[in-house]
Order: sequence, then structure tokens, then C-alpha cells
Amino acid sequence: MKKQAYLLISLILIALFLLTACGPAKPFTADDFAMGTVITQELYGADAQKTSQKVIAKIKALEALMTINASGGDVNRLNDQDGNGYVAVNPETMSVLKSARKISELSGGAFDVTVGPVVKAWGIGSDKPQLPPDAVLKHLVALIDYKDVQLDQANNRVSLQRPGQIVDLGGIAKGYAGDVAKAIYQKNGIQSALINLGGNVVVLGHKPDGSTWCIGIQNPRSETGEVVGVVHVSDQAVVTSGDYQRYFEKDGKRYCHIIDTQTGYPAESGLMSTTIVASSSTEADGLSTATFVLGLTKGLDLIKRYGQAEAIFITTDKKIYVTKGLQGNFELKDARHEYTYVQEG
Amino acid sequence: MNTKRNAIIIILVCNAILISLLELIIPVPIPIPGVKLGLGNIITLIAIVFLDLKAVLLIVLLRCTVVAVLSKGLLMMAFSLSGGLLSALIMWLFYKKLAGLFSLKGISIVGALVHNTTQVLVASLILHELVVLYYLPILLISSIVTGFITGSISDLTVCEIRKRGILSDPT
Amino acid sequence: MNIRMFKKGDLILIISLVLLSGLILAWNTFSSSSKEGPVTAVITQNGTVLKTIDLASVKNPESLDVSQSFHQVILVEKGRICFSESDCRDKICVKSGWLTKIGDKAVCMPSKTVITLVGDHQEIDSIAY
Repeated sequence: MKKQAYLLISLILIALFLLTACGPAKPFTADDFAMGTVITQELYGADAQKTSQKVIAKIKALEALMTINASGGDVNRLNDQDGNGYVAVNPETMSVLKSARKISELSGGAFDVTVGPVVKAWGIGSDKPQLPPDAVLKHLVALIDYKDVQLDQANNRVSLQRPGQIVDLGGIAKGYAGDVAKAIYQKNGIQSALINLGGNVVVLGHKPDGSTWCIGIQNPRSETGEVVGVVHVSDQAVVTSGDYQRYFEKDGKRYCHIIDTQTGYPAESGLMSTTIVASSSTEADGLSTATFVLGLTKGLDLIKRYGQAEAIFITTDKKIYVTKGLQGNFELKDARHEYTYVQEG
Repeated sequence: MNTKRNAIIIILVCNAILISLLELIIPVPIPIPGVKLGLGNIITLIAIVFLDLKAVLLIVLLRCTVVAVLSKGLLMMAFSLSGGLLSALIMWLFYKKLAGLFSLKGISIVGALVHNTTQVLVASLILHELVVLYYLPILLISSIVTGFITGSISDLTVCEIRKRGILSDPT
Repeated sequence: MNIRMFKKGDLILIISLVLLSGLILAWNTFSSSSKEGPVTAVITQNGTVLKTIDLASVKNPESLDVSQSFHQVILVEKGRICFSESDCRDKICVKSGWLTKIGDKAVCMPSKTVITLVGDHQEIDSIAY
């Protein structure tokens, strides 16, 4: 009788084990505030909570290095030494500046971290946004030139050539933080994770059940959380730039936060949003800004030349262009039938 | 004695291969990967009753390899080997340790269960998709049915072999 | 001792297996009972997504050639999808028939192709904005 009791108990235990082992694993989720935005993490695995805390600590450290809103960081010290020779920076800052340089060169300056003076003049996203006078903008636009950021990689030093220039990593730092987060997940044995840094989504691996992550693309003219479509991705970054993210309105006109480096005015290229899907979150971040400034045709051309990214462009006349490599993974979720889906290429 | 043992092993392997190949002709009514009658199990059970563990595993190994080469290809060999060896091992343990509780039918059901789930687990690994849970209920039920069928056949065979004194249980 | 009879362990085993499968079945249907609305078919091969199709929005029946190591064709109609042709050995994929409900799945082992129907509510993990 004793033997049978043992057997019964072990059978029940096996049954329970099977049920729990096969049930959908619950992720550990965390919301934190850093880099001026909400950062949501979703991790599966043993060390999820610890790892997520490591990630947030690291992101805060990166923020301190790259912010222009507080003193002491690499970028701030660089901006203080405008036209005054080299400043020693951390390898991480160097890495971001290198990626920024690559995207600037590729986009012919449509993405440019030296856009700082113009961004400051507009103050979009700050308490006091304003419409700067034409003459001022003309003067400030002359200060935009990514080639003036000299990178001395051997000695981890950077210089800003001309006085008055300001480096603003706002268009790429979050992207970099995404890549760093992914690396931390991997180093800590996490195989399945998602991080959303204020709209920049980076996923690691597949979901635990082997399926792909479904990332919604914000509808540029609806309330936050309403999507126009969904992309299915694994191990990639999904980064969106849009005119709806930060803007101010004056005299019935909308001025968005993405500056056209040619004119010094908010970009008006006929796009409402650009979404880049690529394995490098840093470069995807730069590319999304660059393509938003360039517009549909030149933007698609940039993606083609970059070669390792796919894109979703939404134009102001409500057409959604999806590049070839993404068409199988994109699903239109246009409940009100506002948009036209165009398969590009 | 060694010659007799070898002869028995060869006879059982040949029978196992033949039965397994015959099984391929029988259509399976349920379209689910991993579900099959598993008639080769009959021979495995007979071997478990009359032979030692080494011989049992050898028989399963040879049977799976030959059948895979003849019918399925290398990928499928990985499946049937993993499932076949593991289920043989577990059936052996059940027969040696828990024979008081389980008849050959029960042991055969356990074997079918292990065999089928291992195969679907390996399939999940290869597909990068968790298909196990979706199929598990059907696998459980089909294991009961197929395990019962093969178990009953081996029960009868073992009984007959004992009665005629062809082979005797190891002491 | 009559060997043709069941022993106690056999009965316990069979009963617990039946109970267990019933439990899982109930749980599977319970967890999918809340799944309503649009159905999306996800076709994967070798673990990578080939195509996702919103089955409700399919207007005309369409054949998808997913041949790689095997000749294989998937047929899509409004609200349903199936493997229509395959030259794999056992043709389990074709025998699986039409998939219509959320949670339905058809697997072709030899070609490592899987069709899974997923629902809308579990669709979005995060939003890029």
C-alpha cells in the first residue's frame, strides 16, 4: 500500500510539473523613469529582476554621460569646450558619436548631432517653445556640421571645431541605450526580453513559446496606444520618429521636434512617421530621424543604401509604405480604414 | 550461452525491423507528428522480460537505425533514436522496480508515452515552436491506446514463450 | 497470477493519464475561449516568420508556395488556411486540414513549416511610438 501511495503522489507531481512547465511563462515587467521618458522592460528567465535593475542603473549612467540638461557629463563638457580643443570622453560616448557619424555620412547630414544650437533655439519639448526669427535660424544653421566633431578614437578624445556648436545626442542616445540593454540581457543569460525606451523598442530573441514579438506601430494621428499596424520581429530594434511625438502649435500650425538640418525649421517632408527595423538600435534611431527629415523617396533610398534595415513610412496623405523585407512581417491594423497600404519595391 | 544470447538478439532485431516496416503501411488516422502504433515496442518488451539492459538497448538502437535508414532519413533517425532509447530505458526501470504494480500493458503505456512525448519535444526544438502542449492531450490518449495494444500483444507473446519454454526469465 | 489482468498500477496510470489529458484539454479550451475576434495566421519555417495573414481580410483564395526542401503549397481563403500540397513523406500537414480557430496549428516536420492561428488580444507586446 505504501508503494502505491508513493506512486500516486509521484504521478500527481509529474502532472503538476507538466502543467506548470508547459504553461505560458510569466514575464517580469518593470517600469522606470530615465532619459526623460518611461522605460518598460519585459524579461523572461531566472535572473529577470536583478538584470532589469542592472539595465536601469546602466541607462541612468549613460544618461549622465550624454545629457545636455545637467553638467559634468561627457557631452556637456564637450559642448563647454566648443572650439577649444579635445575633451576626454568615455568609450561609450565615443561609440555613440561613431555611430552618429556613420549615419550622418550615409544620410548626407540629414541626421546630425550638431543640430544642438537650433534645437535649443526652438525649445520644442521644453517649457517655453518659441518660433525663432529667420535671421537667427540662418545664423544657427551655419553651425550645423557633423564633420566638425573630431573623433580621436585612439585616445578616446573628441573636439568640437567651432565656438557656438552644440552636440545633442537626443536623436540617438536612447537607441544606444537599447543596444546596451540587450547586451546586458545576453550577458546575464536572459534569452527572451523586450525593452521599450520611450517608444524605441528592442527585443531579444523570440518569446519563450518560440513565437515572434508583435510590435505595434503608433497611429500618428490617434491617441497614444492606437496602432496602424503590427510588425513581427525577433532580435531586432523597432524605432519610430514622428511629428506627433513632441511638438508645439502656434497660429494653428504644428511645429514638430525633428529639425531639418538644411533649413533649421521642423522637418516638413511629407511624412508623419518613419519606423526603422534593424538589428542595431543605435543606428535605427539615427536612421529614423534621418529618413523623417529626408522624406519618402530619399528616405527609401537611404534605407536601401544602408542595407541592413527595413522601414515603414507613413506619409501625410495617409499612405503606409513598407519595404520589401518587412512585407511578410507587417500587418495592417487600420480599424477605421484611413490608410492605404503600399508595398514598396 | 553467449552464442544463444546473440542469436536471440539477432532474431529479435530482425523481427523488430520487420514489424516496424510493416507498421509504415498501416495508415495513422490522427494527423499529429509523433503519433503511431509503435509495434516495434512489442519486441522491446519481450527483450526487457528475457534479456539484460545492454541487449535491450542494442536491439532498439539497431531497429531504429535500420528503419530510419530504410524509410525516413537522417533527421527522423534522431527522433526515433531519442524516443526509442529513452522509452526502452524507462520501461526497463518500471519492469525491474515496479513489476508488482504494473503489468506489461501498463509498462507498455508508459513506454509509448515517453516515446511520443520525447519525439514531440525534439520536434519542438527543431521547429523552434512549442507544439507539445497543444498536442499533449491527444498524445496521452493515443499512448494509452497504442500502449495497451502493443502491451497486450507482448503479454500474450511472453506468456506463450514461457509456456513453451523457448526462453526463460533471467534469474 | 493471471498476467492478462490489469494490475493496480495500470489502472492508476490509465485513470491519471485520462484525467490529466482532460485537464489540459479543458485548460486549453478555457484559455482559448476568451480568444475571439480577428484571426491571424502566422507561417513559420525553420523558426523564422515567412508571412502573417489577417484571415478576415482575405478576399480571394490564394495559394502560397512555401517550397524549400520540399514542394509545399499553402492555401488561404477568407477565415481559413491549410497546407494544400506537400511532397513530404507522411503528409501529416495536409491531413491536418483547414485551420479556422485561434490556437489551431498544423505542423510539417520534414519541412519544418508551422502554421499557427493567433488572436488579436495577444497581438501586441509593445508599441513603437
